[in-house]
Amino acid sequence: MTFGPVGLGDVELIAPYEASDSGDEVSFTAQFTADTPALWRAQAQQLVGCANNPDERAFELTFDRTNPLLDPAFIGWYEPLDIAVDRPLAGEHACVGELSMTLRRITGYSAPRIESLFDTWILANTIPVTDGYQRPHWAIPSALIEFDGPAGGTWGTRQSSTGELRFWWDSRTDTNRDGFADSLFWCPAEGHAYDGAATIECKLDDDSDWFTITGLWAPNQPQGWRLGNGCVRCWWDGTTLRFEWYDGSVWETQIGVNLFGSLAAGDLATLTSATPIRNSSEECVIRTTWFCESVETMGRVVVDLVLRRGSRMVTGILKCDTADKWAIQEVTETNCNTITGGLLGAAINGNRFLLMSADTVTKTTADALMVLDTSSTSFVFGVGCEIGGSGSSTPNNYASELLGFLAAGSERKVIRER
Amino acid sequence: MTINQVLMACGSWEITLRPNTPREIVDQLRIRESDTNFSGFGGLICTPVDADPVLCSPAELYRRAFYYGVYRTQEFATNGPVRLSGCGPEMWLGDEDGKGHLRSYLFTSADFEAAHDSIRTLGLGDITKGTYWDPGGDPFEWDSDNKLVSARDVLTYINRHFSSEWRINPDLTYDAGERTAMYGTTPAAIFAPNAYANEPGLPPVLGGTATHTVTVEDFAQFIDIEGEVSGVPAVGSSSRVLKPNWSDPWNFDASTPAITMRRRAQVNGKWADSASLEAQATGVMLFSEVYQETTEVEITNYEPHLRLLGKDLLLTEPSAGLVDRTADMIHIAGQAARPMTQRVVEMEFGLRPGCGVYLHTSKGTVTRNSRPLIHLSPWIDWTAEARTARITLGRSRPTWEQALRDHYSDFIT
Repeated sequence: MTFGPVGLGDVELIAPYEASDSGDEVSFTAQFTADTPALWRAQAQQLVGCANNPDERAFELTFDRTNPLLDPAFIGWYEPLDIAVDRPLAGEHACVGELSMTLRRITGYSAPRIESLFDTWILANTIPVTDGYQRPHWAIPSALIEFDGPAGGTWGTRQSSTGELRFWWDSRTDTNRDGFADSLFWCPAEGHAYDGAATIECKLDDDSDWFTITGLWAPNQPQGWRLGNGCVRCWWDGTTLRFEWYDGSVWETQIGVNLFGSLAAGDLATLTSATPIRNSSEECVIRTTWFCESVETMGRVVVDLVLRRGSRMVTGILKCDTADKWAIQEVTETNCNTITGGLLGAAINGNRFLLMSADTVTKTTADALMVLDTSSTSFVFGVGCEIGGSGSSTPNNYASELLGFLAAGSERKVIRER
Repeated sequence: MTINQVLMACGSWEITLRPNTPREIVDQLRIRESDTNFSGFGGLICTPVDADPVLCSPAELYRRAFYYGVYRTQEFATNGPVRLSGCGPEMWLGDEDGKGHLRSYLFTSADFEAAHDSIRTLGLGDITKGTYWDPGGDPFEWDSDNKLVSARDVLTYINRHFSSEWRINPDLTYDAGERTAMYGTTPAAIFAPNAYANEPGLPPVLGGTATHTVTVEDFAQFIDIEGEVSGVPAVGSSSRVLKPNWSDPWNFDASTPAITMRRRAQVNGKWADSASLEAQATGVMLFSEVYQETTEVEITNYEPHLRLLGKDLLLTEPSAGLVDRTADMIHIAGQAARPMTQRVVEMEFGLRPGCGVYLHTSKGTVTRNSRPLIHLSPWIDWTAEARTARITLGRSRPTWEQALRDHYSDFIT
């Protein structure tokens, strides 16, 4: 059984299990178990988090149809009204607990329409790339019941570690458009709603493995979070921000990135907290707070890391109280080449990493370094990768990654009845 | 405890005192003890932080106040709470019924400062001159023809003429001037329902819900102001180029529409020339948009000391239509956003526990200008809505109808 992104399919439901429905509400109670207490606690967080997530208000509930204990009639899309988990008390088995859920059915037993409201425009930049030349992109799972995408543009596929994606980018040559705004309709096939979804993962509290969190309540563990979408993932290892990419079959091309202020702030050496501020399958945002070497004079430094489904570029938005010439550098200082909008790294595992910035920077290719020309209280940067290196083509090449980075905007989805 | 404030209009306020308020305090609040000893018309002072009035000078309370109101009504219920209410200090210039400082006026070649000074100095007592931001322009000439007019009506004429505004501050100083000079152009806060916390580089973040309305109900192609010039009726008109064609409403290029949409208003008194009437019409046209866009916002985390009335607010919620694609981009909550800017024209908010509330009357124990202060904060019944505020916003200009609607109806309907 899966509910939303929660892998209850890995978890055995122990009888007794009760389900009842009344009107458009469905209630379940069951006991569930996990192999370790840490895993159990993670599952409990995932279940409860589904009910308090303002960014993702409805989920798919699926059953393995061959399991004789579970009624396949309940497979469908639901809005969680109440999810309660009874935690084991001292003395009870630490890996068994009781779950009860009350859900409101959205569309009966059939598939809903998902409407993605998508609005983009050019990210303010000094590269300069003018409005009309940015290339917004959009990705949904490949396994679909139906979809009606944007007018014009080009469709392709992109393989993520959690499933194949149908990938659209705006390849139109009309340069007079003012950004792009559209309503896009789609519906994933059963069980595929979370393919390639943007996710926030946390380390289990016994440090053994990662689990996807739902909702916005995550443990505050500066070295225990990971922002990812099956194409790229990003985490803090205690000294550097690390990134690695999925090339279609393996995770590779891992790099480290340091941020620092080149005038007064010094190194952003300590990531003090990581807080999810948006957790939905189309986009996740983690807000990180930092101490720099001269924190008393600098005040607050906040970096929001933003990742959309299907994107290979993590966008970072640094904001602070005191202006400085902020800088980004790849930590092994791999020799780079200058490209429009940033730096292109040498090939690692056949792929070339990208450091991008929307602001005016001075680039030092030998040191993989970009420094703002003018002190500022904000710095917008991107860390991406050209999968396939010099042999890649649109939309995977670095020129496309830049134009995608510059297509800023917002996407929200609404689950609609048919 | 609710306060309602409106640009250039009276607004209102209401307090409920807890049932266990000492008799001693309640007695001092009596509107009328005798004809020579009463608390009516006293001043309500609200400050962001509560302080016992004996510990600080009353002048400091006035300096820190974010609201000053005039006490007018007291309501007792048997075995129930005491309710006090009143309105803003604008009532001294003309209240919601048109009562107030009525007198006749004669303006001959009055510049901006002289025009406003003559309103302010004529018997308004404690309302002292604040700051003027003089927008310049032709002098104002007008004769009320020996008829009694309220000061607020005259201010309407003066401000249409100079394209300016006025306000009374909580410390009872009077400011007047061009809007952007008086309130600044920096947005005072940002309404972003999907953001979670204040961020560096942005004004304070407010959350809640919003209703956004756009209408063409008040559209007029011509404003015609009818008045008397040199003893003869005259009309001054102002027009806008945009003119929907009635058989094809979206064909704005039609040069001769079958019907024009005109709006008439009458003004009193004697005007110097038809150019003055035209200036009145232009003043109205300047402030009434082709389409009227208002937003009602309900804020859940409002802080009363923000003093938002008259200032610009940024609003961003693209999926609710709160977006302006021509605006400068900001980053908020990890999103790139293009917020729309609207101006706060009316506010209704509650106070939270911890605010200071004082009544400044003829009774009480601490004096300012020989008039005592009563400390009410310990006895206020703070309601559950203390942190919510309802804010009405319009485009970055007031619609004069909003500012005048409780009082002045010179538009002929």
